[in-house]
Amino acid sequence: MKIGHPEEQKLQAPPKLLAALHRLPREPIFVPLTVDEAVLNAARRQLGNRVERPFDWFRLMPWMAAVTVLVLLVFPAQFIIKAPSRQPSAAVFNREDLNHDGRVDILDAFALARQLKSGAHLNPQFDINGDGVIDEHDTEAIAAHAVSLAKGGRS
Amino acid sequence: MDAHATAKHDLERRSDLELIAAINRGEAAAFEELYFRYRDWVAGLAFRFTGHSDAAADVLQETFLYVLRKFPGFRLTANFKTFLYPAVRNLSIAARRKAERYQSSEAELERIEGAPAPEPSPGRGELEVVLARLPEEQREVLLLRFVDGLSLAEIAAAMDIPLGTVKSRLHNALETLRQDERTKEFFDH
Repeated sequence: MKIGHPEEQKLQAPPKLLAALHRLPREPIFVPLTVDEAVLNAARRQLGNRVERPFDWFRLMPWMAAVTVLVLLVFPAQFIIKAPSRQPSAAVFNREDLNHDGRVDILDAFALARQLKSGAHLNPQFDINGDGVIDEHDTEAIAAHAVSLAKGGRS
Repeated sequence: MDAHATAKHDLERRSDLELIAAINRGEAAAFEELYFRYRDWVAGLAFRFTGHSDAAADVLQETFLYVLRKFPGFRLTANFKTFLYPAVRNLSIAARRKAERYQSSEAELERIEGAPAPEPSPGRGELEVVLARLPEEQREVLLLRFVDGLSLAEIAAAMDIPLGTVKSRLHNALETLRQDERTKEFFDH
C-alpha cells in the first residue's frame, strides 16, 4: 500500500485494523460460465479472432519430413520420364500458393508461418481450412495439401 | 512446456499497460488475460453495490463489454481499477434501478442511489457490523483504500471527487471505528 505525504500517513489504518480488514470474509461471487463466454466471445469477434501464440515450428516437422521424402522420390522419376514441362499460369494461382511460384509446397506453409509470426495483417484468403481463424492449423493444411499434390506430381 | 502454456505464461507476466497495448493491436488473448485478472475484483465490487450475486454477474458482463468497446484506441492513464470503478458503480446503480423499477417514487430513487449496507449476518465479526453501519461513501473510501489498495489520489479519480473529500471521508470512517467500543481495540498500540 502506498504511503506518500505525511498527511496521508495520518490516514493510515493501524496494523491490527488492516489485518482485520483483510481477514473479512468475502462473499463468494459465483460467476456463471455463460458470463465468461459472452465476454470472451465478444472480444474474439471484435478483435478479429486472432489469438497470438508463438509459432511452434516443431508442429511442421512431420510434414517437412514427409514432403522431403516424397520430393526425393518423385522428382528423379520426372526427369527420367521427361514429362512435358507445365508452365505455371501467369495470373491464376492456387489459394494455397502463397508465394505465387506456381506450385503448392512446404515453402508456402513456411511463408504463412512467417506471416503469422510477424503479426502482420493477414489476408482472409489464407484461412485455408475455413475455420474462421488464421493460425498454425492453416499452415498444416497447406503442408497436407503439398503432400497430397506431391504424391500426384506438381500442382 | 508446450507452446500454448508458454504463451499463457508470457501473458501472465505482462503488465496491464502491455496487455492493453496488445489488445489495441487486436490480441484477443490479451483481453482474456485482462478479464481474468480483474474478473473477481469487479464481481466483488458489483456485489458490494448491488447486494445480489446475480446482479453482480450481470454488472461484470456489462462492465467488460463496456471496456471492450473502448478498443482499439484505448489509453490507460492510471490504475486500471481507477478506470473500472466508476463503470462498475454506474452499472450497479442502473442494475438496481432496473430491479426496483416498480418502486418509482422519488423517495425510493433517492434511497437506491446509495449502496445497500450489507446486512451483518449473525456470527459475523463486530468489525463487519460497524462497517455496515458506516455511511456508504465513507465505507467505500475505507475499503478502496485498505482492502483494494488504491492511493488517495486514485480513489479521488475513481470516485470523481476532490482529494480533500476523500481524506475527510477516510478520516471520518477511521474516527468512527476508533470511537466505537466494538472496534477501538484495533487502534491500541
